[in-house]
Amino acid sequence: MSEHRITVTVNGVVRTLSVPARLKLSDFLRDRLDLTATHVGCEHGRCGSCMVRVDGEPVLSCLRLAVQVDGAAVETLEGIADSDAVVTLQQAFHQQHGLQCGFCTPGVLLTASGLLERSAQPTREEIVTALGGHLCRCTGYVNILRAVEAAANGGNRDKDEHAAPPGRMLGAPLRRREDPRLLRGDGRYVADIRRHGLLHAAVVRSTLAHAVIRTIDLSAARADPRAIAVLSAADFGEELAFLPSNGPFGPGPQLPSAQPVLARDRVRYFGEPVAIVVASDRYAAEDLAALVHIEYAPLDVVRDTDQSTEDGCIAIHEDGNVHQIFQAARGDVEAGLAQAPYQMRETFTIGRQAGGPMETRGVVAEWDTVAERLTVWTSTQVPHGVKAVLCTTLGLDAESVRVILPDVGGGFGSKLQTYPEEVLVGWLARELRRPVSWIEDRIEHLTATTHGRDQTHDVEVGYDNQGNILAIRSRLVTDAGAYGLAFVNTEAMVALGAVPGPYRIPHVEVSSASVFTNKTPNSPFRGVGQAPASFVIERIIDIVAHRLGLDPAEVRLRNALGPDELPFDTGLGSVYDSGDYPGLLRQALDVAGYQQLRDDQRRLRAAGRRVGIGLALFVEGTGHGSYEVARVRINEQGHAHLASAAAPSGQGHQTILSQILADELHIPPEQITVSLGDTDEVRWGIGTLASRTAVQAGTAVRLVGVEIRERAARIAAFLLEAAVDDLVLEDGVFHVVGDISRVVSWAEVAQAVAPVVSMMPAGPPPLPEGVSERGLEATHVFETAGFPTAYGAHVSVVEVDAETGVVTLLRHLVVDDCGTVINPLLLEGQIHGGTAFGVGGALLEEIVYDEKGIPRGSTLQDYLHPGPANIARDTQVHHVHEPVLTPWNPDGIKGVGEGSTIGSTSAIANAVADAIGVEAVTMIPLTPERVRAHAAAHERVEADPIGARG
Amino acid sequence: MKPPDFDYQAPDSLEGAVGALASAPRARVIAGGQSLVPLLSRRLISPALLIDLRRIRGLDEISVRDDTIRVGAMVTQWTAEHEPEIDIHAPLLARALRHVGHPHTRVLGTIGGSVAYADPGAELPAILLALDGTAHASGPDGPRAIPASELYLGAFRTSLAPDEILTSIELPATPAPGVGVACVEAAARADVTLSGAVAQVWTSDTGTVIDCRIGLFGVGDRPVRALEAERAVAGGAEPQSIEAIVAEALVAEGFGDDGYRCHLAAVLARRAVTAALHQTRDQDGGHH
Repeated sequence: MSEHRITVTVNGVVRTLSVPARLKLSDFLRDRLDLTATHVGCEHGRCGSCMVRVDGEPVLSCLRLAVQVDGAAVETLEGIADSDAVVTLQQAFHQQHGLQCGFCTPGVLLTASGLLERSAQPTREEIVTALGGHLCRCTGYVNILRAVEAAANGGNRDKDEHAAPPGRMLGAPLRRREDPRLLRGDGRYVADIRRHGLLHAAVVRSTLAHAVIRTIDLSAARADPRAIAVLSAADFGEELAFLPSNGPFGPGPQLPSAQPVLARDRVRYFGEPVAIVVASDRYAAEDLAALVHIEYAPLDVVRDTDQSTEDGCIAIHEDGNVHQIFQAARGDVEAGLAQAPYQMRETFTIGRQAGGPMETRGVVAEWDTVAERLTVWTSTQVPHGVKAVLCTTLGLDAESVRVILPDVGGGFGSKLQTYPEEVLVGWLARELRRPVSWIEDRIEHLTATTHGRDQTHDVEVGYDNQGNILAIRSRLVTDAGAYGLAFVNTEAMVALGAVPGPYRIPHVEVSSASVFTNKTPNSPFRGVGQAPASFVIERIIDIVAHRLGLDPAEVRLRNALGPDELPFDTGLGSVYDSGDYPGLLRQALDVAGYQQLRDDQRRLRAAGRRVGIGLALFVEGTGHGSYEVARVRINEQGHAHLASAAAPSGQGHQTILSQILADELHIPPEQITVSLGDTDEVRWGIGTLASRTAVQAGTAVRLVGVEIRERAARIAAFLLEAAVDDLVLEDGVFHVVGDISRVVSWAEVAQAVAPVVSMMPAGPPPLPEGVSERGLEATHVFETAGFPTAYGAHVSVVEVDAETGVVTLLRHLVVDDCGTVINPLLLEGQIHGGTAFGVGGALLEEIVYDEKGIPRGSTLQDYLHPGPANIARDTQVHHVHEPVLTPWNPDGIKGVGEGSTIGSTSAIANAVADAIGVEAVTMIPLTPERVRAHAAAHERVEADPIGARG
Repeated sequence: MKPPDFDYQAPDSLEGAVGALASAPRARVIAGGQSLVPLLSRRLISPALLIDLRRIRGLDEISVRDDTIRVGAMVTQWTAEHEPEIDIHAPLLARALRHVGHPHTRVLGTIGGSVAYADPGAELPAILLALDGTAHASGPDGPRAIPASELYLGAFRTSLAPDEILTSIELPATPAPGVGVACVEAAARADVTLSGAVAQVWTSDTGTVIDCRIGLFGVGDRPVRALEAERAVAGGAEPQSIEAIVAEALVAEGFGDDGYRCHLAAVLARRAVTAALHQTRDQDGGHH
C-alpha cells in the first residue's frame, strides 16, 4: 500500500492530504473533499462527466491519479461557478433547456466554459468538436449546442422565466425549477449520498455465460482484515432467494425461470451476481472481490434464439427455453395472403441494445435501529416497486421500509426492474447495522443491467398494386436473455400489438415468442416493442413502394387509418383512441418540403452523392399502467405541497406537475413544493415508465387539484356568505363574480379550516356545510379506463458515404401529436432525446456476444452511444396544427417520452435504405460495415443487373 | 472500476526512472495516462510499481537539427499540435494530431505515450512507420535507437524491452514547400476510429511527385506501410489506382481476414493521397 502526501490547491484552497497512489482524482475530489459536482459516468475516459481543470486545462479526473496533481491547481464546477463564462452558460442552459437529468451537465459546463474563455465566437463546428468527448443520453444534444451558442452570443438577455399567469399554465414554456440546483452541481445522485459510517459493496460476477457452480471459496476474502462481509447465496435464507418473476411488482408466482438474487447452483449469463463483499471503501471491496474463487463446470452456451429452440438444445430452465408465446390476430390472414395480388417474405432483425443512462445504477440503504426502519435511496424508476420487493424479501412490514428517490441520472427503462443489488444492500444494511452503498460501474452496467430489443420478425406480406397492405403474418422471436425478470416479456408482448402500426391492414396474424438464451436478461427500454415493430412495418411500406414504383409517402397515406376510422380497435390488444394520422403526415411532408427534397435528391444523386430520404409514421401507446397517485395539501400560508409517485430521471416532472397544479389552483409554481418518488409521501404508486407520467401522474394532479379547489370554494363561499355557484377563482383569490371588493385568499381558506391553538375547549368547529374535516388536503388515485395513443411523423435526410458506409444525418424533422401540450419546451427536449436514441438504434448501438456468450467489449468504446457529432445538424420539432385530445383524461394529454425513438429509428433506417438501394436494409443497427456491404451489393446489381439476379 | 494497489514514484531524472523500472519485477511507466489509467481501472494490468515520467526534465524538448526533428516523448499532444516547429518540420504529425482522441485528452496525452502504446488503431505509430522514423529509448544498458520498421510487433506490443523507456522520436524534417499531408479516418462515432490512413507527398516545383509515404492504421494488429502504393504514386500513378494496389497488398500480407477493414484502408489511402496532393497544389497556387 503506497501512501503519498500531496499538496494540491483545489478551488483556490490549499490542501495537504495523504492519499494512496491508486486513488483516482475523481474519487479524491468526491470522497475526500466532498466535492460531488464532478460526476463519474464511466471511469475510462469516454463520457466526459468527470471533467475538471488542472492548472487551467480541461482534464478528465477519472484518468488522473490524485498523486499526479501534487503541486497543481485543480478546479471543479464548485470552484468556477462564479466565473463570467460559467454564469453566462448556466443562464443559457436554463433558458434553452440544455439539461435534463443534470448528470453530464457539470462536465459539459467545464468544457464549454473553457471553450468560451479561449474563443469568443466559436463556430458550431468548434463547439461540436470541443464537446465531442461528452456523452449525453437525455437531451439529444440539440439544446446543449443551442445553449453554448446562445452563451457565446453575449449570453441570454432573455431572463424571462416565461411565467404565465397561474390559471393559464398549460402550454407555457416554463423554465425548469430543477435547473438552478443542477447547474450549480448540487444534484444529489445516489453516489453523492453520504451517511455516517457508510460501507461499500462490490459484486462478484460470473465470468462464464453458462456453467454449474462447483465451489465458491470465500475464505481468502474473509480472511482479509478489510473484509466486513463476504457472502454468497448459501448465507441467505430462502425468502431472499429470488427476484419476483413475470409480475408487475412485488413477488409474482415463483417461476422456474426466476432470477436468484445471488446465483445458487448455476450461472446463466456473463455478469450474473454470484457473491457480494463489503468493505469500508470501493477500492478495498474490489480487492476483496478478486479474492473470491469460484470453480465452474462449463455448460453448453445457448448463443441465440435459433439454437435455443433447436431439438436437443440444453435447457436453461426446468420448464424449457421458450418463456412465453403470445398470439393475436385480426381478419383472416390466410385468405388475405392468398388473395393478395403480390406477396413478399422477409426477415427483419433488430439488434440488442442497452438503455445506457449516463448515471449507472446504485443503491444506499440504512437501517435505523431506533425506528426499526429501513431507508433506501436507489436510482430507480419504480420506488414503490422496489419497496414492495424489499418488504417481501426482507420480511418487513410496509411501514418499515422507506424508499427515497435521489436525483436520478436517466433511466430509459433500464431502471424499472428491482435488481439483486437492491435486495442485497437492503439486507446488508439491516444485518450489519451500518449503512451500505453499492454503485454500479459502467462495465457492470453494460453487462448486468438489462438489455432491450434483440428481436427478429419473419413476415409474409400481401399487397396490391396500389400499395395497399392487405395482410401480414408475422412471427416474432425475442431473445429474453437468461432469466424471467418481472418485465422480461415486454418487448415480445408490446411488439405483437404494434406490428400493423397506424395502418388499416385488414388481416394481421402475429405470434411472438420470448425465448431464453445465455445473455443478460431482457427488459424494456425507450420505445419497447413499438420501435422494433415500427422499423419493420415502415420498411415493409418502403419496400412495397419501391417494388411498385410508388412514392413511399403516398403509400403511407393510402394505408393510414383516417380520423373517422378512430377509435380503432386493433384486434391485437389495443385501441387507437383519437388522431389524424394522414393529416399529420401531410403536415410533416409540407413542413419538410418533401417535393423539394426529392428534387434535390435527384440532382445530388446525379452528382454522385448518395442522399436518402426516410419517412416514418407511427402510433405510440402511452400512459400505460392502472393508476397513479397525487396528494396535495395547502398550508396556512396558502402554499401548496404536492407529492406523487412519479419518479423523474430528467424529464422535469417537478416542473410539469407543479405547472398543472398551478393551472388548477392559481397558486404560482414558486409557492408549490414538490416531492416525488418518496414512498412515505404517497402510499401507492407505479412510477415512471411507458410514457405515462404526464398522462397519469399529470391527471392525478389535475384531479386532486379539482378536489381541493372545490372544497376550498365551499369554504370560501362560507367565509364570504355567498353561494358556491356564484364564486370564481381568479388571480389567485376567490370572490363573487363581478365583485372584487371582498376576496378570500388560499391562505385564508386554509386558516379557516385549521384548528386554533388555545387552552380553552374548542367547541364545534365553524366549518361550512359539506366540509367535515380540518385541513385542506386530498389524495387522488387516478385509475385510467384507457390508454391514449399518441402519434407522429419523422422525416430523415441522410447522406451515405458508399465507400466507407459512414452515415451523416443532414436533417431530421419531427411532427408530433401528443394532445394537449403541458410545457412545449420540455416536450421538445423529450423529442430531441428520443430522436437521439433512434440515431443510436438505427446506426450505432449493438451489444454483440461471441460464441461463448461473452459480450465483445463492455465499455463505451465498444457500445457506441451517439455523440454530439452524430445528430442531424438541422433538427426541427413541430407540433400538429390541431392536437387531437384523448378522451381518457380531462386535459386531453397523451404521453410523449418514447414516441420520438419509435419514429426516428424507422425514419433513419429508411433514409439509409433510400440512399443505397432500398430493399437490402432489413437489419439495424446499420453499422458502417453493414451499410458498406449493402452499397457494394447494390453497386454489383447496378453494374450487372441481370447477372446479379442470377 | 478501481485500480489495484501499486507503489508509485515520480523520479526527477531519466536515470532514476530507468533504475526504478529495472528494480521492480512488475514496474511500468506512466506518461499522460489517457490509455493506461483505463487499463488500471479495469484491472487489465496490475503493476507493482508505477513510475511517473512527468517530473523528468529533458523529455519534453523539440529540436530540429540537420534534416531531422526530434520530439521528446513527454511532449504533450496538445503542445505538438500547436507548436510552429512541428507544423513546419513535421506537418503530417501536426495534421494527424487533430484526430487523436479529443482536445481534452491531448492536454495530458503524450507523443511518446501514443507511440509506445502501439494501439493498432492509432495515428502516430502509422506516421512513425510511414516516415521511417526512429524511436529513441533508454535502458539500463544505455540509449538505443529503434527504427520504426522494427518497433511494432503486434497489437499493443513493441520491441521496447520491459526495462526501456521511450525518450523521444525522430522524424525526417520535412523540406517545404512542395509537401502535402493528410490524415483521413472512418468512424461511426468520432472517437472510435475504424480505419485510417496518413499520407505525405513531396512534389517538385513543377508538381511532379518526388516521393510519397502512406501509413495505414486500424487494419490489422499493427500499423502498415503501403510500400507498393507509395512507389506507384512516386512513379506518377494517379491516386485512383492505388486503392486496388493497397487492397491487394494487404491481402498478400495476411490482413485479408477482415475484408471490410482492408477495403476501408484502401479507400482511405486513396483519399489521403488525393488530399495530400491537393494540399501541394494549393501551396503553389494551383499549378499542376
